[in-house]
Amino acid sequence: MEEKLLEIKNLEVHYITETADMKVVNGINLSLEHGETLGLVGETGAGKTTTALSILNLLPSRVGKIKGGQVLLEGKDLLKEDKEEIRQVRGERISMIFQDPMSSLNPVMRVGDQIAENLELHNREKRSKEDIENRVCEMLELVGIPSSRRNEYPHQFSGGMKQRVGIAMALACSPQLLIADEPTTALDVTIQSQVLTLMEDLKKKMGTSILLITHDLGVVAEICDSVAIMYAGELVERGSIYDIFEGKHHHPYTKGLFGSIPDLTAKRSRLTPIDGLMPDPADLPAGCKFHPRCKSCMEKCKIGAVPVYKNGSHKIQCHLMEKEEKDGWKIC
Amino acid sequence: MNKRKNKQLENLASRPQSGFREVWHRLKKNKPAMAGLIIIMIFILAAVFANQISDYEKDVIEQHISRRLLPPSTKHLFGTDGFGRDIFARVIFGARTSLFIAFSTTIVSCIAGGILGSLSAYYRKLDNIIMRIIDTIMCLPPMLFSLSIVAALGPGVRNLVIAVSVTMTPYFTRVVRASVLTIVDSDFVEAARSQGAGDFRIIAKHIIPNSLGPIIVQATMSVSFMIMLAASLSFIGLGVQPPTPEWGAMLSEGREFMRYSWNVVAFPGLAIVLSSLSLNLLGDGLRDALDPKLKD
Amino acid sequence: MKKYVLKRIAMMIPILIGVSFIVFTIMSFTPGDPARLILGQSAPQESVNKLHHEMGLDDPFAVRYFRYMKDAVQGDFGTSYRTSRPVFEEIFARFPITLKLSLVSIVLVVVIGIPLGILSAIKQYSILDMICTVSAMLMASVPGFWLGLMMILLFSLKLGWLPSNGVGTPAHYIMPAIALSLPIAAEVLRMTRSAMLETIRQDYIRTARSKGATEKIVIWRHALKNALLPIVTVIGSEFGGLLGGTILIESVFAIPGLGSLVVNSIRTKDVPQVMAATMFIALIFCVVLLLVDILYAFIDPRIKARYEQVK
Repeated sequence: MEEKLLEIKNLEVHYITETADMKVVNGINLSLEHGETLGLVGETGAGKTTTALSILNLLPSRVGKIKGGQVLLEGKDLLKEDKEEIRQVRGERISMIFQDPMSSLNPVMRVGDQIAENLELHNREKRSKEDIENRVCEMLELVGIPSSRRNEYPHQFSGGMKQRVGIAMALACSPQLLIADEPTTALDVTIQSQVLTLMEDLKKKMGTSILLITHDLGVVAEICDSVAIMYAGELVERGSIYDIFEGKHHHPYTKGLFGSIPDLTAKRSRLTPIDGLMPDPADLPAGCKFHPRCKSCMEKCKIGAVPVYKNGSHKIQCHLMEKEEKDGWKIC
Repeated sequence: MNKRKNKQLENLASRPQSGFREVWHRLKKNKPAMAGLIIIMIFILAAVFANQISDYEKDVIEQHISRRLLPPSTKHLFGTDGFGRDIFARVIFGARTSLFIAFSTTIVSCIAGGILGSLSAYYRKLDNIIMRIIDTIMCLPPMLFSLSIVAALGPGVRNLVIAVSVTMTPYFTRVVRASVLTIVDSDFVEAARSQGAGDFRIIAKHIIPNSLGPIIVQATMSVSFMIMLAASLSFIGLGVQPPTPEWGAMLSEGREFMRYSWNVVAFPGLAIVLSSLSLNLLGDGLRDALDPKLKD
Repeated sequence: MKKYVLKRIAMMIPILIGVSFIVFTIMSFTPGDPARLILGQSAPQESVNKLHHEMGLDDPFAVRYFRYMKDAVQGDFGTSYRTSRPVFEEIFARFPITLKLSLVSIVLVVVIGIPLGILSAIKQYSILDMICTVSAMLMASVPGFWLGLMMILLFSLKLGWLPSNGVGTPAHYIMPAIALSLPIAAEVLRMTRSAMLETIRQDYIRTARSKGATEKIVIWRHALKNALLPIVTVIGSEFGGLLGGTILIESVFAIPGLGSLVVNSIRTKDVPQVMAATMFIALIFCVVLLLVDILYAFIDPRIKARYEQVK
């Protein structure tokens, strides 16, 4: 069996402040193959960004604590590596682009220099200054920005172009994995589509895997191969794009998510949002974290761990799946 | 007082404020700020009850050449100065003088700055003129400016208060102006107006409570600065006149006796440092309490 | 960019005129008759009146002001009441000394304030940070002239290591420069620390780290470069305090510079001298503020772009 590119096992992350201990990620299991695009979906506060930051150990140092689990990059546990090892992984094997392009670029540094920095930091091939310069121009052209603009500053670019610079910067060293944390949320819808198309193109050209974090199911439908749905720090459902969008069975939360999407073609006149709010990470409910909001809640949902049921590539963490054994659902 | 602090306060003025109780609660948690509050309260109490602590005529004014330049003892806690006067008593009464000057100048500058700042914020044409004048004044280092005023008017407490007030008014004007400008344009004022609230109600219920915060911080820092400024001017001989006790003047008088008796210059100076420090700590704490996001 | 600089220099002129007006107005309140001052106490009243009239002191305020400005524009700032020499003679004689003192002090401010500020920001909550923060708070509350007195007490009177007054050797500048610079260095330290802390929280720092940048690069290339703007601002505005401080420090250490010139001429009610010295100091401050503004353009390209849009 081919080795997976990234495997997250039982990751637990807490944010510890003076007033509270917030359990933001509670035992996540996730894996990503080479060349796969995985969409990590969930509402704000579900723990998606925290998961992403934990991979590269970029959590805010004073409050963010990884309490357990493993993050395996081609078999090696990143959480056990020392500072220098992690530094080398960052930017070279795993890169990240962030949500707000306005503030993610250094305002007093030229755009070309910021891309070049990535190359200079990981200069194993001992590229010359000229080579680096050429690579910078190459990357800019690749994301659709004239290379003549490499000496300009971030404030001279629009939001969409800034995000492209971010992408160029992240992909400069041809990383194996690109983590994209809500890359299009801060952009206009038209620009959104451009950036997504760009990411797809690059993925095909460079064979990069993408971990795309988003709360927008539409974005997922456009470019993802598989989807993982996160709620209150846990993964409640996971599967290929067909499993999630066209599968028969879903986690109640997933059903709620799809029900909340406005659909021009449907005959419904009202949206059906999910009642209630996501629980406070400092005060999580026992048992299934979704049970207070779930219409199908049973007694056993209120206590104890919830088993994960599997059917092919589709996984759902819900007691309701017990009934679906005939359709192929078995405990994982 | 300097432009940077002023700018920071101007920025503070543009953020929404929180309730008085919450601010007090946050301030209480800040130990250095509370220490500052306690220390300055001690000074204020000492100034108010100075007459109960020592006798003005006997200890502060009368000269006793026989007991010149005594070191600290149980009879004279800080020793005696070049004219035989009890330094401890002089420092206590000096607190009265210094704090009186500092607080009265703060109040005057506050009111003057408040009026000018609000007018400036409301009337654009007036704004241009007033801000131009203020920019010009601020090209003169504050020490120099107040010095020239005191030089022209002559020494004495009254002229000192005038000089320092005029010097500090521009800083208050700026802070008030920034406060009022932001509040006036802000969303919640617009909301109030759209609900039919009249101008007076808006000013009373929204503008004043929200502007108070940065003004209070500026006032606290100013008192500290003014204590220094008054001491500096008196040190040069252009402020308070002898025999009135004032910390800066005491330093000036004590200079010639310094080689014989260190306590003559040490204690008045320490009084300046402590009072200034406590006010700075309190001011910092107030600023943090007003907008926790500004903290580290 | 050049246009912006020229425009700023042009704007200095009305400001200086404004300053001259303010100072002239203030000085006009000075009691005492300059003619009496010049001729002395024992001179007969008639000669005093005659000189008073000759000097044009009978004329109304506006006339006197315009006359002063007219002469000033032609380079004549009047003569000192005390020495009867052109006022700028004394100013230019003393300027180099104050300049030396100020330069040494500014260097001390930068060398002490900025590195310690950066260090305490990087190692926030450490012992070093606590020591720096407390000392800075303390130093910012200490009056420079008292610090000077205490240093004289210790280093001159008790230990005899350093000279306590005058100028002549580099040793003469040590204590005055320290007394002048420490309170300001404290402010700069606090500002540097808070600017660095603010900058380190920014998103682009996280981006830099995600690229695999070392902490050193993060601090120097990304954080410091951005924090430089508020740091330079505070140094510029504190310079005013430095200039004001020279007045006191030169008094304490009996240094024959511009500061003590101001004090002395105020004491002797030498109005033309006071006017000229005050305006000169104001001019220096204005020039420093202008230099700071220009420096901004080299630090922050967004500001440079704004400057270049000036017509």
